[in-house]
Amino acid sequence: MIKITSLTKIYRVGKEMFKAVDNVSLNIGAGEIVSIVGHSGSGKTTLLSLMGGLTAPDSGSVVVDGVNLWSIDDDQLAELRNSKMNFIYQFASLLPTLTALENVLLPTMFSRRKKDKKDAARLLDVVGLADKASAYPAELSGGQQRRVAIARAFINDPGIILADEPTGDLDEDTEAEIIGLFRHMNREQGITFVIVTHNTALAAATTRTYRMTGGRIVVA
Amino acid sequence: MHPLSLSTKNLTRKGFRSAALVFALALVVCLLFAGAIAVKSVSTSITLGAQRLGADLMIVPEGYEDTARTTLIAGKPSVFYMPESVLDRVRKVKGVRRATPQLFIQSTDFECCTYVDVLLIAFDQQTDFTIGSWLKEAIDRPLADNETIIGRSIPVSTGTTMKYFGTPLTVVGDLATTGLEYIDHAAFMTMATARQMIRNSRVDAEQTLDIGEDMISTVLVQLDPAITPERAKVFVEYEIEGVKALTSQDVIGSVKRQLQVLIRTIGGIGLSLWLITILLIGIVFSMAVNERKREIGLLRAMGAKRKNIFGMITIEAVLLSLAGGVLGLVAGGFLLIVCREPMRNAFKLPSLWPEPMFIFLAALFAVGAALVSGVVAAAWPAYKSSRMEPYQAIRKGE
Repeated sequence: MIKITSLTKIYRVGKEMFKAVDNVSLNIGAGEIVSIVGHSGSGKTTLLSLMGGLTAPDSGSVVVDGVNLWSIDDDQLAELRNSKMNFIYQFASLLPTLTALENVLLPTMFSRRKKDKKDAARLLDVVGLADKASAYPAELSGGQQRRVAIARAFINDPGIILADEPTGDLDEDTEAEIIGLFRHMNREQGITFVIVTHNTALAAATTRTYRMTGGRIVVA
Repeated sequence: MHPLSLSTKNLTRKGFRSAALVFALALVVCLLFAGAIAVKSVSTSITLGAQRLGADLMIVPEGYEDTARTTLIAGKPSVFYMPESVLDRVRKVKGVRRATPQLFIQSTDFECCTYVDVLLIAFDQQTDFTIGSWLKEAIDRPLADNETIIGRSIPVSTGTTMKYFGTPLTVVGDLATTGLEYIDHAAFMTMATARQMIRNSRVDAEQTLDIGEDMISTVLVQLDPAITPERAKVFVEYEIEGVKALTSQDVIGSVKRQLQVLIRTIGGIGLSLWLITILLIGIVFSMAVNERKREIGLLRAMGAKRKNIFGMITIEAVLLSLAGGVLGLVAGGFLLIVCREPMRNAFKLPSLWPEPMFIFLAALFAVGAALVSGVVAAAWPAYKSSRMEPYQAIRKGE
């Protein structure tokens, strides 16, 4: 499903060159739940962004469902992101001017697939926020906002979810709910999850764990 | 969800900032629209004034040049007199092809319409070359003695007989509305009728007309094509003492100069405001895009294409521009109505509105200018934001 080969990403800070991702290769199969752990600055988030085509590598390749992300043009890459994958972030990623329901529907604005309010409402129901459909982000708690973002990640029926610290800053109960939700979606819909986390409980719930240090995968 | 809805919500998020931009654009549109209408209105009035002269030269008694200008341009009725002998002398001046006299009588006390300011204009049908075409449109025959054709503002219907200084006159037609007091409040009659009216006023009227039998108000002159009005003016004023000759340029010159000042002022202010507004919109949109980097990165991560981001920001600019445009038109219209009277006094001009098509085109141009300003100013921030790498946009927005 995701094939990463010799992937390297270099940042330039002044005159210094810094390898955020250093010659990483890995394969993630369809339906897997994979976690990437490591200290802050170890390159986890950059690797996740490279997998999602959000940033271009300096060398190496990312192939998703047989498509090399950096051999297609920007529009095709946007379409691929929209139809095959979605992202969950640790930070508040909801648009403040939209209601929970509208936030869930947001990816459909760029999609050819027809999804309507009923689909969005169903997903809000799945994440336990059916009664918050018309609430604005400011009216929701941090955990509720995260769950809306998770519902949004599923609206276009993606095959892959790339999650960056999805349970960060959340209490244990909400964290357990989210882990349960991921496993449920994985089991029911066969969605592949790649989760960057510090959370050992979350990492333990995944089928495979990669550890990163200094931009390299050190343990698989 | 429609992209338009997203743009609208983005604009309402920073309500005060959006309102300030709408206000700035409205100011430009207001100035452009009101300015164009005002300039056109003044210009139309000048043209009509010149057309009203209908002659190459207008000969008036010395000392009454300004009064005559005011009568022709502002349409304010006024009277002045000189001996009829001037007519024969004018005819003998080199370059004069035709000359015709007119006599103005002012009345404020008619039997029909007390206290309405009316200018009676007597003309010589044999030699006239200025009024005939207007009258032809109204009755298509020569005017008989004791008949009159009136301006549209005089509230009398055709067939009514009225007494002017003891002289009965029958209204045989009226002229179309011109918006010029001079014509709209005038009653045209033959020279013979005017002479009879002067005589009758001495025996059969409450008010006596103190006008001699051989007096006229003006001589209108048509020149040979070989001579310029300016040259003929010199000949007339040299050969005939006590008169002044006004050319079309004399009549409209001062107003034209004021008009040019008005155009330069409005144009200068409008252009400066326009440039400042474009700059302001550009800065505000750059700030807005900077503030929304993460949001734009998130949208890109969800599958938004570059053109979607560019479109979203451009739509915001278009919505702001349209709002500013409509508000500016309303404000401009209001300004024109409020300033109509002061303008009329300042330029001593009748307040003529331009044709509806001109007003429509001016409105279209003003709103179009606002749209162009908004879109041009937002184009660079929109382009820049659409080219941001999603990951960098998300990180820098943190």
